[in-house]
Amino acid sequence: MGYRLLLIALLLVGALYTLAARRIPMDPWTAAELINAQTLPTLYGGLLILALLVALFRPAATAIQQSARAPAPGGRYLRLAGIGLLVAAFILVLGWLTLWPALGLLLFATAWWLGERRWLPMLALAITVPLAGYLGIELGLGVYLPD
Amino acid sequence: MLEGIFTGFSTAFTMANVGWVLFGCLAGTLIGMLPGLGPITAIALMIPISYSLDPAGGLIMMAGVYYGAVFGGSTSAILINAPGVASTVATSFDGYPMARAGHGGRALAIAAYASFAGGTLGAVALMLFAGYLAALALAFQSPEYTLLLLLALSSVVVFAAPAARLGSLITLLLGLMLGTIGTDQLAGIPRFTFGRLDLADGLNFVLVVMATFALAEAFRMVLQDDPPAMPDVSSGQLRLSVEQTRRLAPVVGRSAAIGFLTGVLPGAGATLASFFAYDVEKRVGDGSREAGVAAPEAANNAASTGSFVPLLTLGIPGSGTTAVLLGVMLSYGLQPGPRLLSEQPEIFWGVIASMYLGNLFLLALNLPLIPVLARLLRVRSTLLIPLIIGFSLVGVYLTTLNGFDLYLMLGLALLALALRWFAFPLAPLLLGFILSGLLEENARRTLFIAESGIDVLLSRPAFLVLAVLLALVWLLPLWQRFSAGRK
Repeated sequence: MGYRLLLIALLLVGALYTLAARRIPMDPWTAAELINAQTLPTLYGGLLILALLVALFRPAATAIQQSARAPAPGGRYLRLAGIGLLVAAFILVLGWLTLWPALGLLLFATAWWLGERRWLPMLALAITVPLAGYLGIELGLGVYLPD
Repeated sequence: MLEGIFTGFSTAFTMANVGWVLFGCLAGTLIGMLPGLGPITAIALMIPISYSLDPAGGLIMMAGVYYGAVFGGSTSAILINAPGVASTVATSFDGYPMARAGHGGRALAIAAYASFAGGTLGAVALMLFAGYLAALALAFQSPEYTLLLLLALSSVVVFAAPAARLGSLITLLLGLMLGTIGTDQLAGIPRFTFGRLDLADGLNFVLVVMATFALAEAFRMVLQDDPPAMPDVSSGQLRLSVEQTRRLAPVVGRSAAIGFLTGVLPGAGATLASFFAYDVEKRVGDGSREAGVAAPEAANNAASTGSFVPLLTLGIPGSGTTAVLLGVMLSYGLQPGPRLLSEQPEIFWGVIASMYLGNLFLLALNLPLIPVLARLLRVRSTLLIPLIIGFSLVGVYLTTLNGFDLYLMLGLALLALALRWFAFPLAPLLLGFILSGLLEENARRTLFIAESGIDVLLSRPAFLVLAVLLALVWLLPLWQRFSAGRK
């Protein structure tokens, strides 16, 4: 993502946030207060928009940010998208498989997606970490987990 | 005070708490040693474990994680020139060239001894001054707290490098905005919840910490190249001669003093301390590479200890890491600040006493283990990244037991990745998020007091002093620009 694109996306977030802040419902007593439920959110949103406009139109003010990174190779964005999908899939199956089996699958699949092809470390990772979590956290520390 | 110190040591020296400090130091070192993973990530990853302990044990373990991670960070800075956190960047200036010249072990040993000395001197200073400051802070009420919070938030922006100030301000505002999500505490009005009950209590702080630091860091590693190969470290290099020790002792003393005083300032923290001490040493010291490693290490450890002063005595975190610790304390139902000393002295003094233990363990156990621990740096990213992703997701799920929070976490991590990719600092975001509610609550109360006349506020000496300090902090960038223009 380009630097200016990020600033514009943040500007959009700031504008939507400020708009939503102005629409926070209030009763007459709350509305009459000097600092009410809208005041600070509106101030934060307004300041963010201002700061982002300065960043957009005065490039020298964010020289560090602009020179920070060259774009990553295209293939790596694909890898990141895959990781994002795997995490989303983990959250989806969490309710059916319960935490530890879902975690084992996530670890295995993520390692494979990142290019790991050695079966022993992959299996060790996918089995020992969830097992240690189950024994240490659920049984040892008695942390409750929904079935 | 002596009674308090005794209470602290008797709390910290129970078998269980000694074990938790040891565990925390080792876990912190292991995590902090991995490139890119700093103290905030280390603490975030350990939060779920801390919840299963009693408050004193949990906080003592977290303090151990903190020192361990600061210490561990210098190892990757020295060996592979990959400082995981900004506070160890100055260490890499002279540490990495030493490692490339075959003196990596000696650089690590200097870093370890300097860290120990800096941390221990910082703990002594904290023990001497914390009680007095806490007693003074008892007179603080909402008006003073409002100014203190504004001072902490402003300092994060003002003390950043001039070219990074606007970036810090942007992330600080994003954090403050995230902190407004949920039910308004005073009026009971839902804000930015979009009718979802999951958002009624606001964003969980573990979620925000894990998303912005642990998960975003794992995503960054997916996008970036692997770290370079690491030089070998033999255990024979991990000793210092008497002559070297004598030469470095004043360097460590000076740097620890600089570090502690800088760490006490809200927003300044270990990074500023390490650069400041390095710069001072290059100007007034012998300019050797050994001193260049010792100075930032002593300073950043003393600053880490110093940053506990505003947290424990005023309840105001001065850095991202202490902001996370504040969140942990609030989760325990503790209210850090002057009342912590009078109402729960065992926790107040226990955390301080654990600093001695933590520093001792770091030196006694971690130093001999460095050649072994350093092999961790060779762990392939194909195994390390899944581990970080798994730990952060499990950590949030164990805290909230809510799948919706995991989706939020994923979205927030992607935003944090984009910010991190362009070098926006994320510690201000965390500080803003955690202090947002406190600021709003105290600002409203202050204005309520001021309704009966502004002279009520102006008659409070502490309020006036803080107002002047705040004005000075806000004027600092203007003064810097003015003085630069004159040159």
